[in-house]
Amino acid sequence: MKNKKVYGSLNSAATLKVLACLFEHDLDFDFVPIDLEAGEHKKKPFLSMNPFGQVPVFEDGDVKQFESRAIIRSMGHQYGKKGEELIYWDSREQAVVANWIDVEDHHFEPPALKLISELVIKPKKGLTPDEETVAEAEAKLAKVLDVYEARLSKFKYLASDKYTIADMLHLPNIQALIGTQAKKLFDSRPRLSEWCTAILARPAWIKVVEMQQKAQA
Amino acid sequence: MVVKVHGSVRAACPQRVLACLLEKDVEFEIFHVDLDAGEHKRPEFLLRQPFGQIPAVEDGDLKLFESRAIIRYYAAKYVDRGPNLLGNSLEERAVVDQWLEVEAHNFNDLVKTLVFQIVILPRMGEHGDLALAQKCEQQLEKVFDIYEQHLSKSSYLAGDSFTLADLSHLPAIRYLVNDAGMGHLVSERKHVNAWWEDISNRSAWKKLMELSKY
Repeated sequence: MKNKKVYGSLNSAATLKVLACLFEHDLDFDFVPIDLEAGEHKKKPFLSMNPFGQVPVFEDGDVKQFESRAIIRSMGHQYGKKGEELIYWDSREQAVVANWIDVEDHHFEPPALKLISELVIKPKKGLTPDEETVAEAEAKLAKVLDVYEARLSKFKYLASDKYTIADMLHLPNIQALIGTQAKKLFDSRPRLSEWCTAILARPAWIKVVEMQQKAQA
Repeated sequence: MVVKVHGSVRAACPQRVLACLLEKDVEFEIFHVDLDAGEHKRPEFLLRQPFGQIPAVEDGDLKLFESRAIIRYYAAKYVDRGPNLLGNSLEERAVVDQWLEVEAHNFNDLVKTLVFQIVILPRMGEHGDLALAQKCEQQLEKVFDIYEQHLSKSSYLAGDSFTLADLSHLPAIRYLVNDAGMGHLVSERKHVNAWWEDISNRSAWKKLMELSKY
């Protein structure tokens, strides 16, 4: 039986989300690093796996899938551990999870990635963050986090009272942001802060962080 | 139970939901949201959709927003009614999910930006950024090239049948072809063109076009 494979980069939030999902489901896999700096994802043979030239690609048996949220949704339905599913089997409850997956996608991630680009990636390349861009992105993210604070005042997690994919998708970007000046946006919102602490403490996420640390060593 | 759809019948994201409801023959009622008057940013609407966007849906005590989450729900709830928009197996569903995500990440924003610059801003009496629009057009050419390759091997995006992945593209492509003068992106590509002719001639979509009274 061929091992499951993830083709991706430990610098890619999308890849890290898929890895978290694999660990949550206790699935064995091989990690095949794709060199984004060298543009490997924009050349063949990678392009034959994802014609849009993006990581990650997930290989499970004969099937290759791209788009991290599609991979994660499928994994949830296919390998959901009874009693510990990251999804719901009931379509009504799953609809609310799907709603908040798209909130992460359309509202949280764009300003989060912008901030990470300015505050994490630029400094690593010896570049100075652009203050105006940072201020704009912080303001946008703050509005989103206000919505989260209100939502988390009613529910333990974003979609409901259990941890689901909707929460998990936030992990890589929150992990990156709390190491920057943007941490204040999270600290100043009590329920949000509690939620962040809870999800960052998931053993599956800690395994992803360990993978990153080993690679940097 | 009649599904309440809060939004504008001519806006892309509500159209995504309405197209799905029509495919599944689900009764709905449209509650128009006056975007020009800023209704979507008022407190009453923000209770429905905290980000101030349309659509928002109310189905009994179930309240949802994000159009692609809504269509996933109705496609699953009524899986046995009308066309199967989700695929017949977990594997098929995975492919539907993949191309739904492609539409959201690689297609939608380019169309949205382009249409905003060359259709919406001029309608508001303002100048659009033509350079930006051109950049989007060039990027869309590349995306449509990928679609052309893909559709040369399969009739629809996720396989041999019409699914949510195809449906999700309908509103944006309509904007491109009918409003933005970008029909060439479709018509210059044999398989994309055939696919667009097919999906835009579905009776559910044609019903929505009638409701929208363009």
